[in-house]
Amino acid sequence: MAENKKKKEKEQVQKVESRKVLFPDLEQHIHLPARETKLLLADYDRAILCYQAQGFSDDQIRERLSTDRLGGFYAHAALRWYALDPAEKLYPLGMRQGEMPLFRMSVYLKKQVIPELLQMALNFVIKRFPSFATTVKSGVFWHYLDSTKRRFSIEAEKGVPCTPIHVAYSGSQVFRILYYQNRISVEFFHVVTDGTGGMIFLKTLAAEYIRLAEGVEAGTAAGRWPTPAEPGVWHPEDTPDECETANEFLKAEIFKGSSGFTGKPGVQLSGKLSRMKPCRILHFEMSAAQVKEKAHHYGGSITAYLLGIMFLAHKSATEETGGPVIIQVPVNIRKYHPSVTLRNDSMYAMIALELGEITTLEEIVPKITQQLVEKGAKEPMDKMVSTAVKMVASLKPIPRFIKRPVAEKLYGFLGDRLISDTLSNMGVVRMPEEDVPYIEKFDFVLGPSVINRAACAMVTFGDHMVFSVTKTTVEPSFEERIEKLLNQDEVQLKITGSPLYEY
Amino acid sequence: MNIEINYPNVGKPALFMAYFRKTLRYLLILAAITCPIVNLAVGGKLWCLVSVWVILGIWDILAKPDVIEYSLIRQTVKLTIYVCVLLVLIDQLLAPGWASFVVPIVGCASLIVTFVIFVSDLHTQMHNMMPMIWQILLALGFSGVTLAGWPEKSWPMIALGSLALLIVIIGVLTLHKEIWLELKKRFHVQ
Repeated sequence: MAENKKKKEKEQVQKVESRKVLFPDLEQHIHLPARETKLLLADYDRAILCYQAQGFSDDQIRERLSTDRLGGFYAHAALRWYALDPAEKLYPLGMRQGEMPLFRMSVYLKKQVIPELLQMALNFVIKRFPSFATTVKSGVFWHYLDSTKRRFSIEAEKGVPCTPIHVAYSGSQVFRILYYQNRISVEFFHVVTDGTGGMIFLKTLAAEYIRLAEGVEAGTAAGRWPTPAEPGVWHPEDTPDECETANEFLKAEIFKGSSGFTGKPGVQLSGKLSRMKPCRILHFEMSAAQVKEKAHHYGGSITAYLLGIMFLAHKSATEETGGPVIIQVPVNIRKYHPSVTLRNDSMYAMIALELGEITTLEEIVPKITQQLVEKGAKEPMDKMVSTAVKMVASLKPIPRFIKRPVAEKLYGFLGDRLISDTLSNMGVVRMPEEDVPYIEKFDFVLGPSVINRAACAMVTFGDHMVFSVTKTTVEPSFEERIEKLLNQDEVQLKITGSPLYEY
Repeated sequence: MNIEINYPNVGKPALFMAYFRKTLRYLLILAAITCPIVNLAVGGKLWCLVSVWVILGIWDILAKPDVIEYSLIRQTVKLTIYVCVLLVLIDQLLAPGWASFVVPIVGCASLIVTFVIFVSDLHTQMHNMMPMIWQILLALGFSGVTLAGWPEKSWPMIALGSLALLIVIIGVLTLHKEIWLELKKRFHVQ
């Protein structure tokens, strides 16, 4: 025992010495409470050991773990704060124990993840995303995001995906970074960002990890916002700009009347709600080119085609005989009002078909396409934004403790009841050319909803399309029907996913 | 369906706390209904108000804890408010004559506890100071009312007021910028 203790102490001294030799100015970059400083220094120690075990020279270690990448983030006081925008305000207001609106994005690498380097990648990247380095706080009238300075941590994935993140304690993270085999996942509390912002963070984290693990630095100096020509990977050393955390809803045009938030309840999938939410995650992996070809065959886009499949699957997985099946499709409103904000900047198009109308793909895909065009257009989106802004403005003078019980009832129970499912399409994800050889695929998963038994999301990387289903009922007819319909269309499928978590 | 599993196997999730809270909630609802009925049936002093207040406190602190901002300072202040109101209720409804002396002592002790929590980890607690500000304002308010002669002047109330004032002075002298920023955040209406 004593020998072991001595050996450990000796190792610890060696670690600290090599860190001090390699990075003599490291501690000048850190001004955090003692426990956080200790964790950050230990991250450096572990990363140095990891490189030394791989035979890296001191210069190579210095270059990869350069303290310049820390900047002043860990040395400056946490003074920033962010008021929530109208889209974000309802999330914390209506949240209950065990429920949280969140989403998850993952990147699959071609090699196993090295946790020591992933932790360092996060340590370097987080300062580029100041609105993510926050915690949710309660104001007298509204919640807000308060910046927090700490060492943000990664975790080995051991539990059920998309379960609520504990945001209650002082300085709690509003996101969770998990690693499992070759997969890096980020789970976000929706209050902090939407899919677009989340994906930029994940891509930046992945690029930084690849730099640390493989020594490949992608040319991201000019990279800011994802466009067909631009991957949208941010450089961790760039200075964050105010416009990246702007509340774009403040610029919204205000219209008369309301839009988009009321309507008939959607037909729900049958099947008992599971106790564990989600009870399963499924990924349908397909060739993007093949799906595109099928979609064109039916006269629609990929989104319209997969919505068609979902409508048919929904019809076969419900005992209801009438009423509308309503699928909520998030629309990125940045395309109508160019913006580089990482905050929530999306609204919804409600694609609805009566159960009787859901017949064949040939018949429904054109109808869906038409609804996507009409309901996802600029005008309905602007009206929806205007309604949200007006609603929030009218509730402004009411203290939060009065608003909260009402919002708690509205969120989930009433909100979810209005829709049957969700399909969120992240579109095509691009990475810098230098990073592409190290990446296999991405996936995108929505968190479980309160009443809807399934929530779907999809993302494409190269030719690799992943359509994910988050289930909150054990009953499998929805996903079985999706598989059958895709097989009937001769779309080659590989189905991966989680075990069943219900017990 | 042939599914290739690419997530870790997880054991049976620990749901003890969830079940505990659920059971507790049912028991509390049952008690909250039963107490007034029994009290009204049996008659006598209105002890059911005291029990309902205790039930409300247990509900708020244990059965349905805060999902956002569960800080030590906030919980201490919350507990203090529940205890002080409980003491006043007992005094008014069951055994009168001592609350105006005991409640300020409890308030004083709680103010010392929250202040110690605050200064022991300034870096973190700076962002949690609002409940302490409310507590100080309440203490100053009650002390002011007492000094004006209602219900009666007592040394614990004067001590509570003095302590609250001392903390305000220390705070304003050393942390005025931080306090101003905190108030701006907490009262924003954007």
